[in-house]
Amino acid sequence: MSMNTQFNKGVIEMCVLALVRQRDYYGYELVETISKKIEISEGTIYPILRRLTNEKYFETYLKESSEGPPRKYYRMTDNGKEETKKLLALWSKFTEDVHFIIKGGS
Amino acid sequence: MKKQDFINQLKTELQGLPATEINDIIRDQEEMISDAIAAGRTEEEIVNSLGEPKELARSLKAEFKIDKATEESNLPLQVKGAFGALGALLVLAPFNLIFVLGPFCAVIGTLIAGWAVTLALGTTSLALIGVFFAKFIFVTAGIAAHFSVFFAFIGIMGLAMLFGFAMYAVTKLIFKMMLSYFKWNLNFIKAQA
Repeated sequence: MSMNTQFNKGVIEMCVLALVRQRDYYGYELVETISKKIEISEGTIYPILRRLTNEKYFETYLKESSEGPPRKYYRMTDNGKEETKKLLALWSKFTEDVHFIIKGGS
Repeated sequence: MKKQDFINQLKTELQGLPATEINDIIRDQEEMISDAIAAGRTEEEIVNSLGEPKELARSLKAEFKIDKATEESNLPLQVKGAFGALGALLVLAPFNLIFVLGPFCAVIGTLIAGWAVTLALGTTSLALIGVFFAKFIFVTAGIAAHFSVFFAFIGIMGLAMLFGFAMYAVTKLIFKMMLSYFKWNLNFIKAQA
C-alpha cells in the first residue's frame, strides 16, 4: 500500500526522533534501522536529519569509522529531548484514538 | 549516474551558498553513498534514489535562505533575506507564483502604503517646523499665531512617530509570519517530491 507522502514523512520523523532519543546514530544506521519496518529511501532521511539539526533538536560530531572516512553522528540535545517527549505523547494519544475509532468506537 | 557525477553536479548547483555549508552537504551525501554501497547497494541504484542534483540543490538553497532570514534580527536585513528566500521558492516550484508571490505582493503593497503615510506625516511635521521658524523671524504676527503652528508641528510629529513605531512592529510581525509560511510551503513541496 502506498501511504500519503506527507503523512509518511511525519511518521519517519517521529521514528528518527524516537531512535536518536535512545542513543547516538549515524545517518545510514537510521536508514537501515527504520527500513527494516517501513519502506524508505536514503533520500528521505537526510533532509529530516538536516532540518532537525538546524532546529537544534540534534547536535552532530564526527567519529572515525573502521570502514572508511569519519561518520557524522547525531546526538539529541536537552531541548530536543523535551520536545520529543511532548511529540511522542501526542503521537500515542493520536494512535490510541485512531485505534479506538477503527475498532468501531464512537 | 555515477557517484562522482552526482557529487560534482550537486556542488555546481549549490554555488551561491557559503563554502562551509556546501562542504557539509557534500560530506553528508558522500558518507551516505559510501555507506549504502558498503551495505550492498549498487552505485547507480543509490544515486538514482537521491533524485536530480538540481532539484536537491534548489530545495537546500531555499531552506538555507529561509532559515537565515528567520534568524536575522535586523529588520531591513530580514526583509532583504525574505526577498531572497522568495526568489528561491519561485525557482523551486513555479506554482508558487500563485501560492507565494500573490499573497506576498498584496502584503508588501499594504506595508508600503502604511510606510508612505508615516513618511508623509513626518515630512509635513518638518515643513511645519520650517514654517514656524520662518514666520517667527520674518513675520510680525501675534504670539498665538506662532504657537498654533508650533502645536500643529508637535501634534503631527507625534502622530508620525506613533505611526512609525506601529509600522515597525507590524512589519516585523508580518515578515515573521511570512517566513514561517515560506518554511511550511517548502516542507510541503519536499513532501510531494
